Amino acid sequence: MKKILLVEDDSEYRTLLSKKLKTLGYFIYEAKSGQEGLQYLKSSVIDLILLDLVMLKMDGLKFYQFYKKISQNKTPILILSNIVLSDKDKISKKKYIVDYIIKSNINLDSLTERIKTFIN
Amino acid sequence: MATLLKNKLAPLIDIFAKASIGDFSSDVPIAKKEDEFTPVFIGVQVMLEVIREQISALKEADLRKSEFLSMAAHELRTPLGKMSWRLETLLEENSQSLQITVKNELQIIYQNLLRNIELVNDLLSVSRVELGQTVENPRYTNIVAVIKSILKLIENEANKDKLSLSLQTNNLPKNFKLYIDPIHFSQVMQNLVSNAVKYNRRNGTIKIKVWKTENYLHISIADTGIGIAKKDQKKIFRKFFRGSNVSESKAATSVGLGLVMVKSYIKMWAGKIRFNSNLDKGTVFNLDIPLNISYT
Amino acid sequence: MSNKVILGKNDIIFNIYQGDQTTTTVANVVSKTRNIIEILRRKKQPVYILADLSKMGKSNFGSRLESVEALKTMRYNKVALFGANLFVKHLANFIIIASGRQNKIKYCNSKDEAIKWLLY
Repeated sequence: MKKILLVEDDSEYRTLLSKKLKTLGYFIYEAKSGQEGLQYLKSSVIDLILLDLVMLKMDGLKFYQFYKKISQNKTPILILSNIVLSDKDKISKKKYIVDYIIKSNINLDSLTERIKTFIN
Repeated sequence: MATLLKNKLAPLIDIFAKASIGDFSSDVPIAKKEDEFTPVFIGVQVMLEVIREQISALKEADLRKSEFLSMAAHELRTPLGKMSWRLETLLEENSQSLQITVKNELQIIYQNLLRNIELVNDLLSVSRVELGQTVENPRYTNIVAVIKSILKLIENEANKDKLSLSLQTNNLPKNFKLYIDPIHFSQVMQNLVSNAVKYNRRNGTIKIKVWKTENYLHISIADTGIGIAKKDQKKIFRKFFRGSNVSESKAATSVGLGLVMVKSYIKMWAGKIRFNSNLDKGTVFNLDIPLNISYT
Repeated sequence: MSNKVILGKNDIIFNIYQGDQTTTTVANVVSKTRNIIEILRRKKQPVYILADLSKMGKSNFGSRLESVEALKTMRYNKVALFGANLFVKHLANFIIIASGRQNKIKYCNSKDEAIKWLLY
């Protein structure tokens, strides 16, 4: 069973997405902040990270900085955010980041399709 | 005497030369011994310092505008995105457990929501271009491929009204690529093509032609739709404008920002957009995009 | 180091500038000076202002703008400036010209010279 780490501080987004992914047979670790996400990363084997950027306690970019320093086998990161940073293209090309998707511009079905391609 | 003067003024000439290309970073050397030239040298130095301060203030203001736009985007999109996913999940539930009428209502709400998300995106695009905040990421883009993928996207919608779609590329070389931001180009084409679909009549046609001349790429999008009334033609590029002959139901699904956004991007590329339209006959939009878009 | 506004000998208003100047630091001096001007005018006394620039640091664009506005709009008989280095002396001259009140404002080479000119 593939394991996904969902780092998202909005509880509604977290619930909607994890519910959908669970019905598709994935195991979901839910982290409310970048900090929590790092804990899961250190203690478990993760196949894909879904990362929000705007979070109150340690935002996505800080998480990414810490993530680069720890763990040898690098789990791919899919950024899921509603903010479009001016250097979005630069971020999308960063190491281990596989895509930058705007949550409100994609429906759940299409998103789960993309997740399927990245997790394999 | 002339040489003495020339030597004396030389440092200033150097400063002016740099200033002419926007480099205000050098300081004016000011002699400790006061003479008639001192006020001039000090004056130029003061001017440089004022310019530096002004530039810095402008950059700061620009940055704040940029950050505001990003945060606004985030704030507007979040509740919309959540409602959208929630509805999507609900609508996918087994119809037996969800009464038909409720499902229909939800379907309508869902469509409205998608329109709203479109509105936010269009509004942000237009605002960004107007504030000079748009980031263009030009790449060598196979524009025919982009147009083909857009036609594929609207296939279902077009089939509902039995519309026939055609794409002609005339003299365009096989792997022709235009140095342009593919996302913005795609947005422009998507807008014009979906208008051609939306305002068309049953069994109508959409003909897209792409060709190039020495300095320009030309694209024409022709539909056999409701057309644009003469009195409205001056206003179609205005924000939130909807044609007077658009039915209420169609008006509800359109935001009125698409053409504004299209025009903004085309203007940014130093291109031209023209159209010809006749009521109840159809409309043709013509785009002329320079092959060498100059990015300043 | 902050600026000081003092009503001194011969009822001259002393503006002592210390350190780097901004719009705020100059505005403070101006408002205090205006208050004293009010008092002197009510007593039907002449208004002489003496600005000591000897301890002044850098001045930004805003501070200069504030100074020019003040020199344009305050009601005084004379303003004398002294104590500046070469650069500030000429800068002060630009400000005097910008204020349009060259006949009422003068840069003097020493404090004594300044006081003499004010009271003469």
